[in-house]
Amino acid sequence: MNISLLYGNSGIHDPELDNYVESLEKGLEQSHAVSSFMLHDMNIKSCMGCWDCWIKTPGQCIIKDDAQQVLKSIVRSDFTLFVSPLIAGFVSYHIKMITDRFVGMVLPYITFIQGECHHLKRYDSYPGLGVLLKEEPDTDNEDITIVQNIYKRLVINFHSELLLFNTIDNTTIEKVVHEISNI
Amino acid sequence: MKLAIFNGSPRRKKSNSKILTEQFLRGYTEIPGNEYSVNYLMAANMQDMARIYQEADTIIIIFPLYTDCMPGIVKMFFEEINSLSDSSSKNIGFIVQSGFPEAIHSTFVEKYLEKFTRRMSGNYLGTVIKGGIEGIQEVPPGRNKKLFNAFFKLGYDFAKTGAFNEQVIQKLRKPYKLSVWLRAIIYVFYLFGATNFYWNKMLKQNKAYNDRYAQPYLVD
Repeated sequence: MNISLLYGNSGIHDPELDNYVESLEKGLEQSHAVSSFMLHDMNIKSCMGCWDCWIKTPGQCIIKDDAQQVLKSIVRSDFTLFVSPLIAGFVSYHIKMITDRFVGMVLPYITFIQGECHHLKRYDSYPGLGVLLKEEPDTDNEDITIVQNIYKRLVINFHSELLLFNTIDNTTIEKVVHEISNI
Repeated sequence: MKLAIFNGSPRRKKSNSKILTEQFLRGYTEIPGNEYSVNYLMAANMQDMARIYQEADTIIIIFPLYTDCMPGIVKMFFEEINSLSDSSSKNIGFIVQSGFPEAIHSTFVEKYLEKFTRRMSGNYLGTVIKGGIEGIQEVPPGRNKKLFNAFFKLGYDFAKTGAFNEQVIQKLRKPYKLSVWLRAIIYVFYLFGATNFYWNKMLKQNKAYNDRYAQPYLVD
């Protein structure tokens, strides 16, 4: 399976999470092709809301930065995993910035899914999504539910499924690797 | 009241968020004695934005729904102000606008915004949700009269009471979900090509219509 791993490490150095991601990567590489992206170290700009990816250069974001390689990887992957510390109760802004750039992966045209407006597919298939979070000191169940519900919405728009959602505090690397291998 | 409005749209001064803010301020400035500032988060120095946040007693953050929650630049701002020590004397409200017509899309980030304000020990003023905002700059101004009047009233009442008018919020929040009838009507429009007209017109103007289904990220 082709896996894209997007690590939204924040500016605050977190050796525990860095080491976790490194070990997870090694564990996944035993059986899968893994492309890892350390988002904090990459040049990824904010979406500009220009819509060129919908109406001028369909499917292609015009911003020439490191996001291009991430988007290519995701579209070709079978499974895309976001790993992020929770900061102020949500994934890091690095994860959010790259997610905003996913918009060109769908068409501007609207369809109804579950009775709601959503965007039509551009590609024939989309990778399953996974989210692994590291809790903050004040994280509670409400925070986890809020984030999970937002990701459940995201997968509707991206014609995908949320196949994994957990915190690193709640599971082990071995269990995560096993869960992903059974996808 | 010292109000700081933060516009979190990546389109900055060309944004629909700016237009809604202008209508809000049209009402807000009818009542004398209150201050306000409008601050754009896109390409801003976040420390400067945090300073403005700290100096205000009332905050409104307005942004378009981006992939089911806030744009990345708004999250960046949240992370910056999250590290500040004292928001307990601040009143914080939000306006979330989206292209999709239904309010339901924005109710998930709404839960985050309420929790975020609580986390900051701020006083949560609520979240105004308004769908169907895409295209408001492309229609004759008369078509937006009802919308603009609603935001005028929101701003006017906000200046008087320091709160969002709940009746206006409930009106703006419709439709929450599309009724079966509304979906049927939209489907009929779709069959006549009307729902895609907006996008196809721009694609044709850009000579990109033939490439509208392109899959560039599969091509090396």
